[in-house]
Amino acid sequence: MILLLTTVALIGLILINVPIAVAIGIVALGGLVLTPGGATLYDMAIALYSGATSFPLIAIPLFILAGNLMNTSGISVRLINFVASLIGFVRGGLGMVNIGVSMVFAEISGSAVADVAATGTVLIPEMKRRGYSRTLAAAITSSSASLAIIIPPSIPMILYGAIAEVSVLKLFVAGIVPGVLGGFLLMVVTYALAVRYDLPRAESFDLCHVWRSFKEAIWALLMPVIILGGIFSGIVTATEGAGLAVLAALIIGLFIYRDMDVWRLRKVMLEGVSQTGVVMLLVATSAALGLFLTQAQVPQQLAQQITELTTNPLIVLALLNLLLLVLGMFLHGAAAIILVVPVVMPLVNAVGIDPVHFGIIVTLNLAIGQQTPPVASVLITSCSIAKAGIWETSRTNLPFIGVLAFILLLVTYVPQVSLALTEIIQ
Amino acid sequence: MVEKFEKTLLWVIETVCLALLVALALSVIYSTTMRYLGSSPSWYDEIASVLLAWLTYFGATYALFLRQHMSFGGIVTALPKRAAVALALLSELLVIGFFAIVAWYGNAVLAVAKWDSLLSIRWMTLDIVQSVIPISAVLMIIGTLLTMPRALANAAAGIDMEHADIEQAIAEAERESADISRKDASK
Repeated sequence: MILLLTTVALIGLILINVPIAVAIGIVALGGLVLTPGGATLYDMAIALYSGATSFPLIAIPLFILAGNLMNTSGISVRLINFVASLIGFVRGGLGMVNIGVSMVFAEISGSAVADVAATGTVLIPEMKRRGYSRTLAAAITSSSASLAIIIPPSIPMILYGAIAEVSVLKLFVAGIVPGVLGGFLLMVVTYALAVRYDLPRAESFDLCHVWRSFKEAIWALLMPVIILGGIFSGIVTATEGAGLAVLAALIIGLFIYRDMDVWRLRKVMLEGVSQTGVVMLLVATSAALGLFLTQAQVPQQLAQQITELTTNPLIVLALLNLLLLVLGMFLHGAAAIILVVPVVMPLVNAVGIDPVHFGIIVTLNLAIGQQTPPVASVLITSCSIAKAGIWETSRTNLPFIGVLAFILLLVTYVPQVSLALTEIIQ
Repeated sequence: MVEKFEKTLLWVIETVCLALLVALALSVIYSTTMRYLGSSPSWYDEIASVLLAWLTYFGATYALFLRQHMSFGGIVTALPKRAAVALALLSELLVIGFFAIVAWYGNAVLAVAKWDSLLSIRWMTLDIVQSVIPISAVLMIIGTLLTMPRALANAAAGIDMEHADIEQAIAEAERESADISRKDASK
């Protein structure tokens, strides 16, 4: 009952355009005032502070900054050129380039919109010029950018790790196989569509050109190698890796590609500050909501009520998938994680689902949610660049969403797909 | 006059945000280096967490001045003008009310917090550390009031801020990639 009232109040506030973070805070405040219990508004004020001090979340502003630096320092353009020289000769090659680059690039910074804007503004016009329809160009960009949510480094995974108290490193590792597999399948679909619509090859294969673009892109390529290599090999923690990423992106932008100057650096840092403030205020106010929900025993009761009906993890996972898919249609990724994970975690633990496994499931659901209107910022940004309608693009997007849904089912019901690699690093 | 006040205040907030971000990045990079040199700084965990909290609230204040917080404006902008403005006004008042309560209670807990201090820097009492809550709450109220006329005008004109933000992000990305290709061509 309390959960229902909380949900209705929250939806009502969000619908009248109260910022989501503030809506969460207002519901927490109302709940604490209206329900009897030990916690008071003094505790809420303390929770608002301590909610923003969670140590693993320090990686968030740093990855956001590194991502923004990469977006503006010429790293993305050079990556695109290199990948194009490698696989541009295949039919539908430009679409595959888009998928390849998006997977490395998107979801590094805190703003999916900024990431898609960075790669999409270069690739979509080029795709249209070469005969791709507007909707196809937008659909490829949008679906591959969303898949990148499970390819490390990923802000939603850091959020999940901090909330569910799971190792961020394990989440990063668990995302690799589903992410690469999903990317490959997206490319297969692109190839099939390219044959059907008789799309051209982007460029002929030329070893000299590959070498030239490789030399240009070598520093850009070193970024993921240094960061992910450092994190996966255990040399640095996720947070330290984020610090390293900032340093590397700064050096490359300022001294090697020299596309960065002080004025632009200031602007990029301020964008990062704003994106950090947006995500972290959600985290902080949801800590206050957590205070109220825990006092009202909501997560525990939900776990108890559902485990009385079934303790079969497969059925519980199906229910959770359904819930997350619906929520993903109406909430932005970070907001959905912050709201749902604390409430369902006792249930997930009670039926014995591995929290790392569940983390990948949650993020994949959100990837699909980014493709489904009305709240679908990645899709809207891609459509806006391609000047394509959202609904017609959604139709073209169906086979790509199909790939994402297939990966979701595979990950859900074959846990080894995500967990096998994490066992190796132990 | 109001415009000048807003500009100055925003400049101060920007400067504080930038200083906090630089301090956080430097402390992570410094402690990583020192860990490898064999002497991890003892203050790192605590200070970095405090910096994150300050960055959170000053960053959130900055985002509020720019109206960049996540929200869902689809319903309000689709309504007739008068209803849209009324709902937008209600939403603004709720935001102000929330931050007023946060400022009040955030300030009240400081009286207790001043008897405790950080473990790594003993003279830094917790009331200084936690004062970010009432300070930023007051700033967010001021920010809401200053930017309210524009928000209400947007609601009246049926402009969805999310779409406006997306258009702006695309325009900036286009400008930047054009800059880079121009530079590359001239090399």
